[in-house]
Amino acid sequence: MVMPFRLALFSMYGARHWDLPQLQNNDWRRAPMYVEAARMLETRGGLEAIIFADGAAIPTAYKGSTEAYVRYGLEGVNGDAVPLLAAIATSTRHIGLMCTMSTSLYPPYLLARILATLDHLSGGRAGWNLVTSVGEVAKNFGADALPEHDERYDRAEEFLELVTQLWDSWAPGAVLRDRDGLRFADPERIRPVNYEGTYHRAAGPLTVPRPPQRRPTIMQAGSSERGRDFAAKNADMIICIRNSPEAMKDFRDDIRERARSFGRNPDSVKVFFTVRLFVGDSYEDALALRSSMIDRATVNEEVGLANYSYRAGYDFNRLPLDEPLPADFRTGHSQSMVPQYTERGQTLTLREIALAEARKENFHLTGTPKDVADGMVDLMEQVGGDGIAIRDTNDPTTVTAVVDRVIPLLRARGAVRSRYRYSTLRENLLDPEFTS
Amino acid sequence: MTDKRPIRLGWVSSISPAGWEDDRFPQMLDWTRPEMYVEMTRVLESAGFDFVVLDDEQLTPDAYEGSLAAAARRGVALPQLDPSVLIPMLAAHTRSIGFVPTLSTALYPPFILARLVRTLDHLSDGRVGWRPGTTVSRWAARAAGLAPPGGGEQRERVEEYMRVVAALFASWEPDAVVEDPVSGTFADPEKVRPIDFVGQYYQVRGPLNVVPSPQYDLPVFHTVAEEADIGFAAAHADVAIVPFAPVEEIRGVREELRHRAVSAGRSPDAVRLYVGLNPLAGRTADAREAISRPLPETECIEFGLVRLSCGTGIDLASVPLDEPLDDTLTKQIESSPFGRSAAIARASSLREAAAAVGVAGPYDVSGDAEEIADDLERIADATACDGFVLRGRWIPTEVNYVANHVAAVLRMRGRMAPRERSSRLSDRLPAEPARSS
Repeated sequence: MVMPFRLALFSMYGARHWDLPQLQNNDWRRAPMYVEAARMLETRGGLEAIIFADGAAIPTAYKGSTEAYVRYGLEGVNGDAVPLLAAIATSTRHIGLMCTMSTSLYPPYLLARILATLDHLSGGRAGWNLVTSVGEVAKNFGADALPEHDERYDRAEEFLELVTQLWDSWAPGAVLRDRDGLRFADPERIRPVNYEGTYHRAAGPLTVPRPPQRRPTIMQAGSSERGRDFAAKNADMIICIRNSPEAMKDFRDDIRERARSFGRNPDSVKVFFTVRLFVGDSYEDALALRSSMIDRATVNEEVGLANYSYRAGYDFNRLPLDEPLPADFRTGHSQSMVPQYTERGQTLTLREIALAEARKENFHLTGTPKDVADGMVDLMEQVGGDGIAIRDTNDPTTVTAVVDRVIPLLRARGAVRSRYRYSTLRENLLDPEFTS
Repeated sequence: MTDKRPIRLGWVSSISPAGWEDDRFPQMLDWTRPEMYVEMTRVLESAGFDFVVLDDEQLTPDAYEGSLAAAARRGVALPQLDPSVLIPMLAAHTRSIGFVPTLSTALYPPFILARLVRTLDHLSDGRVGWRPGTTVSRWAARAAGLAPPGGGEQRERVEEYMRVVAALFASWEPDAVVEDPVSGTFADPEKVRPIDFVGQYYQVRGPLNVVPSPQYDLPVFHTVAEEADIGFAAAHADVAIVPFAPVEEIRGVREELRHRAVSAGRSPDAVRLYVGLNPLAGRTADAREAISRPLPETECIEFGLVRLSCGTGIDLASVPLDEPLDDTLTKQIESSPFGRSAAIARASSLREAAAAVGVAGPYDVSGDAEEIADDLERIADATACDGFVLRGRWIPTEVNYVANHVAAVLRMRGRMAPRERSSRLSDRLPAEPARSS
């Protein structure tokens, strides 16, 4: 009996992989590639959700300029994933649709309205990857810088409280659509929220009735102390990047403990770890695929430094390339970006880190479909369960390798979803019978 | 008549349950799901409509008796979904019709708006415009936690907003993206620049993070509801929607738009003029009666009163129904979205005004397909407008009649534009200069 686990695709609607051979026949700007991928991931893959990362600015973190990011087409050069998810929604029925939206950039009422609309129009499949933002995106939003790390979480707590109240502003049963009694809605069940916080306020009610999921599924990626508490308290789903099974287990155990301390059933928080998969006919073939991903002009140290500078909110151009990061090194923005490379006694040099960042491979499984499937099962056994977020592109070559070669082996072993028993994202995500 | 320029058609509606009380609104259809909107949009596309404007009406649902109760019970003024999310769904199931979401400049930060509409343009292969929602009702501002709406400052703010959005679009030169895998060059950094915008209301560094889309600059639509809108439309809009009014008035607006466009450094023909019009279209007088009065008369008047209150922001609950309207009230109604209607202007009492508003009025023209087509031809020829934006609800029988009968008559008469044209929205607006009189 294997330990069952869940799958998601962690991807982006952006330029980053524009020069991969398998993307040359697909326009990353347009909808068709993503729609096709989502259909396969749903009908043959049984994935919980397709998740889009987002960056709301072209960074200047590296060398104080947008140059590297524009020249190579890096993180930050991307479209708005919400309308892309809407396009995907009309061609799918079950797969969850998760977008990344920042509590530092969207006004809460706007965000609540957009996500409630997506939840309605998709029949209860909207998911929100709640981020407090990294980098200098605030400069596109009238502020010089984002607030300090902990204050961003104070604001996010308030933000989530407010939008949750807005989603609840139409109580269950508010919409009657009673034609004979000529009552569309019961006014007693539509309530203002009159929220007055330190950072946010809105009187409500929302102009959108209660979303099918009540509250769209919440995902979080916080890894700092404060971020973990926030996630353990509020999220339905957590996504995390770790480089080893041991580090993944530590993280998941910690989250479950925190969830318990907030009075939650730890099984109501599903922790997903990002994994890259390289699937070939033989190990050598898979390795060649991996090399082809790395062996291109946009995978180099400068790209890695630019990426890492953006994610960590620090210009790594200032540090020596061939030395490990200073022992007590911290950045103000995303506190988890450093421990990823320093915890558990790692002594990677900045150059090694930069290459890992450019390759974006972090934790990966390489080999035949059977090797990869076994690796996924083993990983989940070691970590304790929940899920794997496959970090990859939406092109058909990549997606078919996963859904047609790896997932059938997992399904044969009873490890992954056999069918969707519910229509909404959260119900499917929390369904304990998902492999039956 | 020798002037047989094509009459171009657009449709405007919000994502709301409007018409739910009508027997013709299919019980099985769920207004919160995309299917009905997709179907109706396909019908409009087949009939040769060039675009659908998705409205986001700025109303005051708690005006009547100072509470939401009356509006909620009748399903008027609320609920309304966000227009932008529906558009990719409509685009996925159509190929040539365009989409114009109304997006509040008070609610959307300009960076988020610019990236949203440019993304929509990518996802629809160049079929998107946008309509800045430049006014916000006091209720909507309070609900969303925004500052209360204010006169002159709001205009300045919106002007600045438009400058930010234009600068963000221009932050990538049209040929900035090169995508050369050999050198690893995605884009030429010389052609992508921060905007470093520092205004009175907005500070935006830029550049936009979405690459240029099929249309590069997106058509801007604007409704000319009051005097100040003329200047705004002349400076920023590609399409001005002028609510139906006496022919001389529309001609006056048109001349003013042309004149002011030139003052703003644009061509006099830069702003296309579409007349916004709410038709009561049905095959017979009985059919039209069923549309305009689907409920007993007292109920229709109640609906009309609540809609008029929500539209004007005035509590009409305690105003006597059968006495002549006093001057103050008349002025307030005149300055509301309903106020330009001839039927309202004719009303000598609140009862008559409420009856004209009813469940879906006031109507500007009424008749069967031939008669409506006559009216459209007459108005188009007399005003030299470029087309009409017809207001309607998503009731299948209504959409079907307007699309497959009214538009069909216009096509029979040779007044519709040829079918096979570019699907870019900017190409579907008239390119030829509107003929001056």
